[in-house]
Amino acid sequence: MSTFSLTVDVWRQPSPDDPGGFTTYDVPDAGPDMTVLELLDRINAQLEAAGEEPVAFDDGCREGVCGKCGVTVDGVAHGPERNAASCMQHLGAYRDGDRVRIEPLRAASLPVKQDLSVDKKALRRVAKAGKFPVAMKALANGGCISCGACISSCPNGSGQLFVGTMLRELPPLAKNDDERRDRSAKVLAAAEDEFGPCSLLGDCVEVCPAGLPVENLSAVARENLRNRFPRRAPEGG
Amino acid sequence: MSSSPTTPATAPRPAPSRRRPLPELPRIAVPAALPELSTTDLKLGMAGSGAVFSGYVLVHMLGNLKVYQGAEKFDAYAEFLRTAGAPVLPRGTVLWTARGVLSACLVVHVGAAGVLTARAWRANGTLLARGPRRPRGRRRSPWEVLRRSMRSTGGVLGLFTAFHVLDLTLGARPAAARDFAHGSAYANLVASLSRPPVALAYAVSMAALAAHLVHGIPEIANDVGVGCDRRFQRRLRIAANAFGAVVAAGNTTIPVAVLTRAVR
Repeated sequence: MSTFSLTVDVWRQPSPDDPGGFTTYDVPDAGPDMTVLELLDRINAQLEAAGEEPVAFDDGCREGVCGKCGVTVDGVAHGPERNAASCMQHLGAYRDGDRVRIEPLRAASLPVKQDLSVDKKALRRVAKAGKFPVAMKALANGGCISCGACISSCPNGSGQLFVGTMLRELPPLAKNDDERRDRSAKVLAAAEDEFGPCSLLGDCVEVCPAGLPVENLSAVARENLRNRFPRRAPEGG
Repeated sequence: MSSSPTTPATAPRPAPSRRRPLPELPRIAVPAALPELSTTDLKLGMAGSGAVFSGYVLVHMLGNLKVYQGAEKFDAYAEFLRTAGAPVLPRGTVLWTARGVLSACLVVHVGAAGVLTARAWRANGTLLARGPRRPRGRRRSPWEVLRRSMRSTGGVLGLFTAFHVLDLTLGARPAAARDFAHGSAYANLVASLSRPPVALAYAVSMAALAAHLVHGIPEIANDVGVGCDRRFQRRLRIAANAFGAVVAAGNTTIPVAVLTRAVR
Protein backbone atom coordinates (compact mmCIF):
# COMPACT_ATOMS: atom_id res chain seq x y z
CA MET A 1 0.00 0.00 0.00
CA SER A 2 1.36 3.36 -0.96
CA THR A 3 2.18 5.79 1.80
CA PHE A 4 2.43 9.54 1.64
CA SER A 5 3.66 12.37 3.75
CA LEU A 6 1.33 14.80 5.50
CA THR A 7 1.98 17.94 7.50
CA VAL A 8 -0.55 18.00 10.30
CA ASP A 9 -1.45 21.11 12.32
CA VAL A 10 -2.93 19.90 15.58
CA TRP A 11 -4.71 22.08 18.12
CA ARG A 12 -2.93 21.82 21.49
CA GLN A 13 -4.51 23.29 24.57
CA PRO A 14 -3.37 22.09 28.00
CA SER A 15 -6.61 22.85 29.84
CA PRO A 16 -10.00 24.52 29.30
CA ASP A 17 -8.84 27.90 30.55
CA ASP A 18 -5.45 28.03 28.88
CA PRO A 19 -5.06 29.54 25.44
CA GLY A 20 -4.47 26.99 22.72
CA GLY A 21 -2.51 27.00 19.48
CA PHE A 22 -1.58 24.86 16.54
CA THR A 23 1.50 22.64 16.67
CA THR A 24 2.79 21.17 13.44
CA TYR A 25 3.79 17.53 13.10
CA ASP A 26 5.10 15.70 10.04
CA VAL A 27 3.73 12.25 9.39
CA PRO A 28 5.82 10.67 6.62
CA ASP A 29 3.98 7.35 6.47
CA ALA A 30 0.28 8.24 6.22
CA GLY A 31 -1.84 6.14 3.90
CA PRO A 32 -5.20 6.46 2.18
CA ASP A 33 -6.60 3.62 4.31
CA MET A 34 -5.60 5.27 7.55
CA THR A 35 -8.38 6.85 9.59
CA VAL A 36 -8.20 10.30 11.15
CA LEU A 37 -7.86 8.78 14.62
CA GLU A 38 -5.12 6.43 13.39
CA LEU A 39 -3.30 9.50 12.12
CA LEU A 40 -3.51 10.94 15.64
CA ASP A 41 -2.36 7.56 17.03
CA ARG A 42 0.65 7.78 14.74
CA ILE A 43 1.48 11.28 15.97
CA ASN A 44 1.08 10.12 19.58
CA ALA A 45 3.40 7.17 19.01
CA GLN A 46 5.99 9.61 17.73
CA LEU A 47 5.42 11.95 20.68
CA GLU A 48 5.67 9.14 23.23
CA ALA A 49 8.87 7.89 21.61
CA ALA A 50 10.26 11.39 22.01
CA GLY A 51 9.04 11.54 25.62
CA GLU A 52 6.49 14.26 24.99
CA GLU A 53 2.89 14.69 26.08
CA PRO A 54 0.58 12.89 23.62
CA VAL A 55 -2.35 14.64 21.97
CA ALA A 56 -5.57 14.12 23.94
CA PHE A 57 -8.60 13.26 21.84
CA ASP A 58 -11.97 11.60 22.38
CA ASP A 59 -11.92 7.94 21.44
CA GLY A 60 -14.48 5.16 21.67
CA CYS A 61 -15.61 2.10 19.75
CA ARG A 62 -13.75 2.88 16.53
CA GLU A 63 -16.69 1.44 14.67
CA GLY A 64 -18.61 4.68 14.16
CA VAL A 65 -21.51 3.83 16.44
CA CYS A 66 -20.73 5.10 19.95
CA GLY A 67 -20.60 8.83 19.26
CA LYS A 68 -17.69 9.51 21.55
CA CYS A 69 -15.08 10.58 19.03
CA GLY A 70 -15.06 13.71 16.94
CA VAL A 71 -12.53 16.21 15.65
CA THR A 72 -12.70 18.90 13.00
CA VAL A 73 -10.54 18.23 9.93
CA ASP A 74 -9.84 21.22 7.66
CA GLY A 75 -12.93 22.98 8.97
CA VAL A 76 -15.26 20.00 8.49
CA ALA A 77 -16.64 18.21 11.55
CA HIS A 78 -15.51 14.56 11.75
CA GLY A 79 -13.50 14.74 8.52
CA PRO A 80 -13.48 14.90 4.72
CA GLU A 81 -15.93 12.06 4.05
CA ARG A 82 -19.68 12.56 4.35
CA ASN A 83 -21.66 10.88 7.10
CA ALA A 84 -18.87 9.09 8.93
CA ALA A 85 -17.49 9.48 12.44
CA SER A 86 -13.86 10.52 12.85
CA CYS A 87 -12.88 6.92 13.59
CA MET A 88 -14.29 5.85 10.20
CA GLN A 89 -12.90 8.79 8.20
CA HIS A 90 -10.13 7.85 5.81
CA LEU A 91 -7.44 10.08 4.41
CA GLY A 92 -8.24 9.35 0.77
CA ALA A 93 -8.98 13.03 0.13
CA TYR A 94 -5.33 13.92 0.75
CA ARG A 95 -2.28 13.69 -1.47
CA ASP A 96 1.42 13.53 -0.74
CA GLY A 97 2.67 16.76 0.79
CA ASP A 98 -0.78 18.10 1.78
CA ARG A 99 -1.30 20.10 4.93
CA VAL A 100 -4.10 18.96 7.25
CA ARG A 101 -5.54 20.95 10.13
CA ILE A 102 -7.09 19.04 13.02
CA GLU A 103 -9.07 20.97 15.62
CA PRO A 104 -11.59 20.03 18.28
CA LEU A 105 -15.31 20.07 17.48
CA ARG A 106 -16.11 23.74 17.83
CA ALA A 107 -19.18 25.34 19.40
CA ALA A 108 -19.86 27.35 22.52
CA SER A 109 -21.82 24.38 23.87
CA LEU A 110 -18.86 22.02 23.33
CA PRO A 111 -16.03 23.57 25.38
CA VAL A 112 -12.54 22.16 24.95
CA LYS A 113 -11.33 19.98 27.84
CA GLN A 114 -7.83 19.36 26.53
CA ASP A 115 -6.28 19.43 23.05
CA LEU A 116 -8.91 17.81 20.79
CA SER A 117 -11.13 16.51 23.55
CA VAL A 118 -14.40 18.37 24.15
CA ASP A 119 -17.09 18.36 26.81
CA LYS A 120 -20.34 17.02 25.31
CA LYS A 121 -22.47 17.44 28.43
CA ALA A 122 -24.75 19.98 26.71
CA LEU A 123 -26.31 17.10 24.74
CA ARG A 124 -26.86 15.20 27.96
CA ARG A 125 -28.44 18.23 29.66
CA VAL A 126 -31.00 18.54 26.86
CA ALA A 127 -31.74 14.81 27.01
CA LYS A 128 -32.19 15.04 30.77
CA ALA A 129 -34.80 17.78 30.31
CA GLY A 130 -36.94 15.28 28.41
CA LYS A 131 -36.65 12.55 31.07
CA PHE A 132 -33.28 11.00 30.44
CA PRO A 133 -34.02 7.29 29.83
CA VAL A 134 -36.95 8.12 27.56
CA ALA A 135 -34.95 10.74 25.68
CA MET A 136 -32.09 8.27 25.17
CA LYS A 137 -34.57 5.70 23.92
CA ALA A 138 -35.99 8.30 21.52
CA LEU A 139 -32.51 9.13 20.25
CA ALA A 140 -31.71 5.45 19.81
CA ASN A 141 -34.97 4.94 17.92
CA GLY A 142 -34.11 7.87 15.69
CA GLY A 143 -30.57 6.55 15.14
CA CYS A 144 -28.78 9.51 16.75
CA ILE A 145 -25.51 8.64 18.49
CA SER A 146 -25.17 12.08 20.20
CA CYS A 147 -21.72 12.76 18.78
CA GLY A 148 -22.24 16.56 18.64
CA ALA A 149 -21.00 16.93 15.06
CA CYS A 150 -24.25 18.63 14.00
CA ILE A 151 -23.67 21.43 16.51
CA SER A 152 -20.04 21.77 15.58
CA SER A 153 -20.64 21.83 11.83
CA CYS A 154 -23.35 24.47 12.13
CA PRO A 155 -22.18 28.06 11.65
CA ASN A 156 -24.98 29.02 14.07
CA GLY A 157 -24.00 26.47 16.72
CA SER A 158 -27.46 24.92 16.39
CA GLY A 159 -28.17 21.43 17.66
CA GLN A 160 -31.45 21.19 15.81
CA LEU A 161 -30.67 17.85 14.13
CA PHE A 162 -30.13 16.32 17.58
CA VAL A 163 -33.11 18.10 19.16
CA GLY A 164 -35.36 17.51 16.15
CA THR A 165 -34.55 13.80 16.09
CA MET A 166 -35.37 13.57 19.78
CA LEU A 167 -38.62 15.50 19.35
CA ARG A 168 -39.61 13.37 16.40
CA GLU A 169 -39.17 10.17 18.36
CA LEU A 170 -40.46 11.30 21.77
CA PRO A 171 -44.22 11.43 20.97
CA PRO A 172 -44.67 7.67 20.43
CA LEU A 173 -42.98 7.07 23.80
CA ALA A 174 -45.37 9.34 25.71
CA LYS A 175 -48.28 7.76 27.58
CA ASN A 176 -50.65 10.58 26.70
CA ASP A 177 -50.79 13.96 25.10
CA ASP A 178 -50.05 15.91 28.27
CA GLU A 179 -46.86 13.96 28.79
CA ARG A 180 -45.85 14.60 25.21
CA ARG A 181 -46.41 18.33 25.59
CA ASP A 182 -44.63 18.47 28.91
CA ARG A 183 -41.54 16.65 27.66
CA SER A 184 -41.26 18.48 24.37
CA ALA A 185 -41.68 21.86 26.09
CA LYS A 186 -38.86 21.03 28.51
CA VAL A 187 -36.60 19.80 25.73
CA LEU A 188 -37.31 22.94 23.69
CA ALA A 189 -36.52 25.18 26.64
CA ALA A 190 -33.28 23.35 27.39
CA ALA A 191 -32.25 23.43 23.73
CA GLU A 192 -32.95 27.15 23.64
CA ASP A 193 -30.43 27.66 26.45
CA GLU A 194 -27.74 25.46 24.93
CA PHE A 195 -27.83 25.91 21.18
CA GLY A 196 -28.21 28.54 18.46
CA PRO A 197 -30.97 28.98 15.85
CA CYS A 198 -31.29 26.70 12.82
CA SER A 199 -30.96 28.19 9.32
CA LEU A 200 -31.58 24.96 7.40
CA LEU A 201 -28.08 25.13 5.90
CA GLY A 202 -27.89 21.34 6.01
CA ASP A 203 -24.24 21.17 7.11
CA CYS A 204 -25.36 18.93 9.99
CA VAL A 205 -26.92 16.43 7.61
CA GLU A 206 -23.67 16.21 5.63
CA VAL A 207 -21.56 15.35 8.65
CA CYS A 208 -24.00 13.24 10.71
CA PRO A 209 -22.45 9.77 11.10
CA ALA A 210 -25.91 8.30 11.59
CA GLY A 211 -27.12 9.86 8.33
CA LEU A 212 -30.10 11.53 10.00
CA PRO A 213 -32.39 13.20 7.47
CA VAL A 214 -32.94 16.93 7.09
CA GLU A 215 -36.69 16.47 7.71
CA ASN A 216 -35.96 15.91 11.39
CA LEU A 217 -35.10 19.61 11.74
CA SER A 218 -38.73 20.51 11.22
CA ALA A 219 -39.91 18.57 14.28
CA VAL A 220 -38.70 21.41 16.50
CA ALA A 221 -41.06 23.97 14.98
CA ARG A 222 -43.87 21.44 14.81
CA GLU A 223 -43.68 20.52 18.49
CA ASN A 224 -43.32 24.19 19.44
CA LEU A 225 -46.48 25.14 17.53
CA ARG A 226 -48.32 22.12 18.86
CA ASN A 227 -47.52 23.19 22.41
CA ARG A 228 -48.44 26.77 21.73
CA PHE A 229 -51.87 26.15 20.30
CA PRO A 230 -54.12 24.00 22.44
CA ARG A 231 -55.57 20.92 20.85
CA ARG A 232 -58.84 21.25 19.06
CA ALA A 233 -59.65 17.59 18.80
CA PRO A 234 -58.09 14.87 20.93
CA GLU A 235 -55.25 13.19 19.08
CA GLY A 236 -53.63 9.88 19.82
CA GLY A 237 -51.33 9.95 22.78
CA MET B 1 5.90 1.45 11.87
CA SER B 2 6.61 4.80 13.35
CA SER B 3 10.32 4.88 12.71
CA SER B 4 10.25 8.48 11.66
CA PRO B 5 11.20 11.08 14.21
CA THR B 6 8.60 13.50 15.38
CA THR B 7 9.19 16.98 14.21
CA PRO B 8 7.37 19.51 16.30
CA ALA B 9 8.27 22.00 13.63
CA THR B 10 7.17 25.00 15.59
CA ALA B 11 6.65 25.68 19.22
CA PRO B 12 2.96 26.29 19.97
CA ARG B 13 2.24 29.52 18.23
CA PRO B 14 0.50 32.25 20.14
CA ALA B 15 -3.15 31.36 20.00
CA PRO B 16 -4.90 33.05 17.11
CA SER B 17 -8.37 34.40 17.76
CA ARG B 18 -9.61 31.13 16.34
CA ARG B 19 -11.05 29.45 19.38
CA ARG B 20 -11.47 32.35 21.71
CA PRO B 21 -15.11 32.72 22.67
CA LEU B 22 -16.89 35.84 21.62
CA PRO B 23 -17.10 38.41 24.35
CA GLU B 24 -20.55 38.15 25.83
CA LEU B 25 -22.79 39.91 23.39
CA PRO B 26 -24.95 42.60 24.93
CA ARG B 27 -28.48 41.39 25.39
CA ILE B 28 -30.70 42.98 22.82
CA ALA B 29 -32.99 45.38 24.59
CA VAL B 30 -36.57 44.16 24.36
CA PRO B 31 -39.33 46.59 25.31
CA ALA B 32 -40.88 45.53 28.61
CA ALA B 33 -44.27 44.90 27.04
CA LEU B 34 -42.90 42.20 24.76
CA PRO B 35 -42.27 38.75 26.12
CA GLU B 36 -38.74 37.39 25.86
CA LEU B 37 -39.06 35.87 22.42
CA SER B 38 -37.81 32.35 21.92
CA THR B 39 -35.73 31.40 18.90
CA THR B 40 -38.55 29.30 17.45
CA ASP B 41 -40.95 32.27 17.71
CA LEU B 42 -38.48 34.61 16.07
CA LYS B 43 -38.08 32.07 13.28
CA LEU B 44 -41.87 32.05 12.90
CA GLY B 45 -41.76 35.83 12.52
CA MET B 46 -39.06 35.52 9.87
CA ALA B 47 -41.05 32.81 8.09
CA GLY B 48 -44.27 34.84 8.06
CA SER B 49 -42.67 38.06 6.87
CA GLY B 50 -40.54 36.11 4.38
CA ALA B 51 -43.66 34.48 2.95
CA VAL B 52 -45.25 37.92 2.47
CA PHE B 53 -42.11 39.16 0.70
CA SER B 54 -42.00 36.05 -1.49
CA GLY B 55 -45.56 36.64 -2.64
CA TYR B 56 -44.86 40.32 -3.13
CA VAL B 57 -41.80 39.82 -5.36
CA LEU B 58 -43.79 37.50 -7.61
CA VAL B 59 -46.64 39.99 -7.99
CA HIS B 60 -44.17 42.85 -8.45
CA MET B 61 -42.33 40.92 -11.18
CA LEU B 62 -45.58 40.19 -13.02
CA GLY B 63 -46.43 43.90 -12.82
CA ASN B 64 -42.98 44.78 -14.13
CA LEU B 65 -43.50 42.60 -17.19
CA LYS B 66 -46.27 44.99 -18.27
CA VAL B 67 -43.43 47.18 -19.50
CA TYR B 68 -43.44 45.02 -22.64
CA GLN B 69 -47.00 46.16 -23.40
CA GLY B 70 -45.81 49.70 -23.96
CA ALA B 71 -45.80 53.02 -22.11
CA GLU B 72 -49.53 53.52 -22.15
CA LYS B 73 -50.47 50.18 -20.57
CA PHE B 74 -47.61 50.38 -18.06
CA ASP B 75 -48.53 53.87 -16.90
CA ALA B 76 -52.18 52.84 -16.73
CA TYR B 77 -51.19 49.92 -14.51
CA ALA B 78 -49.22 52.30 -12.27
CA GLU B 79 -52.28 54.50 -12.02
CA PHE B 80 -54.49 51.48 -11.31
CA LEU B 81 -52.33 50.66 -8.27
CA ARG B 82 -53.30 54.06 -6.89
CA THR B 83 -56.98 53.95 -7.79
CA ALA B 84 -57.65 50.26 -7.01
CA GLY B 85 -60.78 49.87 -4.94
CA ALA B 86 -62.33 53.05 -6.30
CA PRO B 87 -64.91 54.39 -6.00
CA VAL B 88 -65.49 52.61 -2.68
CA LEU B 89 -62.05 53.28 -1.32
CA PRO B 90 -60.25 56.61 -1.41
CA ARG B 91 -57.34 56.98 -3.80
CA GLY B 92 -54.16 55.24 -2.64
CA THR B 93 -55.82 53.06 0.00
CA VAL B 94 -54.66 49.76 -1.47
CA LEU B 95 -51.21 51.13 -2.28
CA TRP B 96 -50.65 52.53 1.21
CA THR B 97 -52.02 49.39 2.86
CA ALA B 98 -49.53 47.33 0.87
CA ARG B 99 -46.74 49.72 1.82
CA GLY B 100 -47.75 49.51 5.48
CA VAL B 101 -47.81 45.70 5.47
CA LEU B 102 -44.46 45.50 3.68
CA SER B 103 -42.88 47.99 6.10
CA ALA B 104 -44.15 46.04 9.09
CA CYS B 105 -42.78 42.83 7.57
CA LEU B 106 -39.45 44.53 7.00
CA VAL B 107 -39.24 45.54 10.65
CA VAL B 108 -40.09 42.00 11.78
CA HIS B 109 -37.75 40.33 9.27
CA VAL B 110 -34.74 42.53 9.94
CA GLY B 111 -35.32 42.72 13.69
CA ALA B 112 -35.66 38.96 14.05
CA ALA B 113 -32.64 38.41 11.80
CA GLY B 114 -30.57 40.71 14.02
CA VAL B 115 -31.54 38.94 17.24
CA LEU B 116 -31.04 35.49 15.69
CA THR B 117 -27.66 36.49 14.28
CA ALA B 118 -26.51 37.61 17.72
CA ARG B 119 -27.69 34.32 19.19
CA ALA B 120 -26.05 32.32 16.41
CA TRP B 121 -22.70 34.04 16.91
CA ARG B 122 -22.88 33.47 20.63
CA ALA B 123 -23.73 29.78 20.14
CA ASN B 124 -20.97 29.35 17.57
CA GLY B 125 -18.55 30.53 20.19
CA THR B 126 -15.77 31.46 17.83
CA LEU B 127 -15.03 34.43 15.71
CA LEU B 128 -14.27 32.32 12.70
CA ALA B 129 -11.03 33.28 11.13
CA ARG B 130 -11.05 31.93 7.60
CA GLY B 131 -10.24 28.28 7.93
CA PRO B 132 -8.12 26.22 5.62
CA ARG B 133 -9.47 25.15 2.27
CA ARG B 134 -12.17 22.54 2.72
CA PRO B 135 -11.07 19.00 1.86
CA ARG B 136 -11.47 17.52 -1.61
CA GLY B 137 -15.01 16.37 -2.20
CA ARG B 138 -16.40 18.86 0.32
CA ARG B 139 -15.75 22.12 -1.51
CA ARG B 140 -18.75 24.29 -2.31
CA SER B 141 -19.68 25.80 -5.65
CA PRO B 142 -20.12 29.59 -5.84
CA TRP B 143 -23.88 29.10 -6.17
CA GLU B 144 -23.96 26.95 -3.03
CA VAL B 145 -22.02 29.61 -1.16
CA LEU B 146 -24.38 32.33 -2.41
CA ARG B 147 -27.44 30.30 -1.47
CA ARG B 148 -26.32 29.80 2.12
CA SER B 149 -25.28 33.45 2.54
CA MET B 150 -28.71 34.61 3.65
CA ARG B 151 -27.39 37.54 5.66
CA SER B 152 -25.26 38.84 2.80
CA THR B 153 -27.93 38.42 0.14
CA GLY B 154 -30.44 39.97 2.55
CA GLY B 155 -28.13 42.94 3.04
CA VAL B 156 -27.76 43.37 -0.72
CA LEU B 157 -31.55 43.23 -1.10
CA GLY B 158 -32.01 45.81 1.66
CA LEU B 159 -29.57 48.24 0.06
CA PHE B 160 -31.07 47.64 -3.36
CA THR B 161 -34.60 48.23 -2.06
CA ALA B 162 -33.55 51.53 -0.49
CA PHE B 163 -31.98 52.60 -3.78
CA HIS B 164 -34.98 51.36 -5.76
CA VAL B 165 -37.42 53.41 -3.66
CA LEU B 166 -35.26 56.54 -3.91
CA ASP B 167 -34.89 55.98 -7.65
CA LEU B 168 -38.34 55.04 -8.91
CA THR B 169 -40.76 55.93 -6.09
CA LEU B 170 -39.42 59.16 -4.60
CA GLY B 171 -37.38 60.28 -7.60
CA ALA B 172 -34.60 61.57 -5.35
CA ARG B 173 -31.40 62.57 -7.10
CA PRO B 174 -28.77 61.18 -7.51
CA ALA B 175 -30.49 57.78 -7.22
CA ALA B 176 -33.15 58.80 -9.74
CA ALA B 177 -32.40 59.66 -13.35
CA ARG B 178 -32.12 63.35 -14.28
CA ASP B 179 -35.48 63.65 -16.01
CA PHE B 180 -37.56 61.84 -13.38
CA ALA B 181 -41.21 62.91 -13.39
CA HIS B 182 -43.88 61.72 -10.96
CA GLY B 183 -46.60 59.76 -12.75
CA SER B 184 -44.62 58.72 -15.83
CA ALA B 185 -43.58 55.31 -14.58
CA TYR B 186 -42.51 53.96 -17.96
CA ALA B 187 -40.24 56.87 -18.85
CA ASN B 188 -38.71 56.83 -15.36
CA LEU B 189 -37.98 53.11 -15.59
CA VAL B 190 -36.35 53.42 -19.02
CA ALA B 191 -34.32 56.46 -17.98
CA SER B 192 -33.13 54.72 -14.82
CA LEU B 193 -32.14 51.41 -16.40
CA SER B 194 -30.47 53.11 -19.36
CA ARG B 195 -27.64 53.85 -16.93
CA PRO B 196 -25.40 50.75 -17.22
CA PRO B 197 -24.24 50.79 -13.57
CA VAL B 198 -27.85 50.83 -12.40
CA ALA B 199 -28.76 48.01 -14.79
CA LEU B 200 -25.81 45.99 -13.50
CA ALA B 201 -26.75 46.61 -9.86
CA TYR B 202 -30.28 45.53 -10.72
CA ALA B 203 -29.06 42.26 -12.25
CA VAL B 204 -26.73 41.54 -9.31
CA SER B 205 -29.57 42.20 -6.88
CA MET B 206 -31.79 39.78 -8.79
CA ALA B 207 -29.12 37.08 -8.40
CA ALA B 208 -29.13 37.82 -4.66
CA LEU B 209 -32.94 37.65 -4.68
CA ALA B 210 -32.90 34.27 -6.44
CA ALA B 211 -30.42 32.88 -3.91
CA HIS B 212 -32.40 34.31 -0.98
CA LEU B 213 -35.66 32.81 -2.27
CA VAL B 214 -34.20 29.43 -3.18
CA HIS B 215 -32.97 28.94 0.37
CA GLY B 216 -35.63 30.97 2.12
CA ILE B 217 -38.73 29.18 0.85
CA PRO B 218 -37.73 25.72 2.15
CA GLU B 219 -36.68 27.47 5.35
CA ILE B 220 -40.21 28.89 5.74
CA ALA B 221 -41.58 25.32 5.61
CA ASN B 222 -38.97 24.18 8.13
CA ASP B 223 -39.76 27.00 10.53
CA VAL B 224 -43.51 26.42 10.51
CA GLY B 225 -43.04 22.70 11.01
CA VAL B 226 -44.43 21.37 7.75
CA GLY B 227 -41.14 20.04 6.39
CA CYS B 228 -41.42 16.65 8.09
CA ASP B 229 -41.96 14.68 4.92
CA ARG B 230 -39.03 13.86 2.66
CA ARG B 231 -40.97 13.88 -0.60
CA PHE B 232 -42.62 17.17 0.27
CA GLN B 233 -39.22 18.69 1.04
CA ARG B 234 -37.80 17.56 -2.29
CA ARG B 235 -40.75 18.97 -4.18
CA LEU B 236 -40.60 22.18 -2.24
CA ARG B 237 -36.91 22.62 -3.08
CA ILE B 238 -37.64 22.10 -6.76
CA ALA B 239 -40.52 24.58 -6.54
CA ALA B 240 -38.31 27.10 -4.70
CA ASN B 241 -35.62 26.77 -7.39
CA ALA B 242 -38.22 27.39 -10.07
CA PHE B 243 -39.76 30.28 -8.16
CA GLY B 244 -36.40 31.99 -7.58
CA ALA B 245 -35.37 31.47 -11.19
CA VAL B 246 -38.66 32.77 -12.61
CA VAL B 247 -38.78 35.89 -10.43
CA ALA B 248 -35.13 36.78 -10.98
CA ALA B 249 -35.13 35.97 -14.70
CA GLY B 250 -38.41 37.81 -15.31
CA ASN B 251 -37.06 40.94 -13.69
CA THR B 252 -33.61 40.71 -15.26
CA THR B 253 -35.06 40.71 -18.78
CA ILE B 254 -36.07 44.35 -18.23
CA PRO B 255 -32.61 45.99 -17.83
CA VAL B 256 -31.39 43.78 -20.69
CA ALA B 257 -34.28 44.94 -22.87
CA VAL B 258 -33.66 48.58 -21.97
CA LEU B 259 -29.93 48.39 -22.64
CA THR B 260 -30.49 46.63 -25.97
CA ARG B 261 -33.11 49.29 -26.81
CA ALA B 262 -35.83 46.67 -27.19
CA VAL B 263 -37.72 48.76 -24.64
CA ARG B 264 -37.26 52.49 -24.96
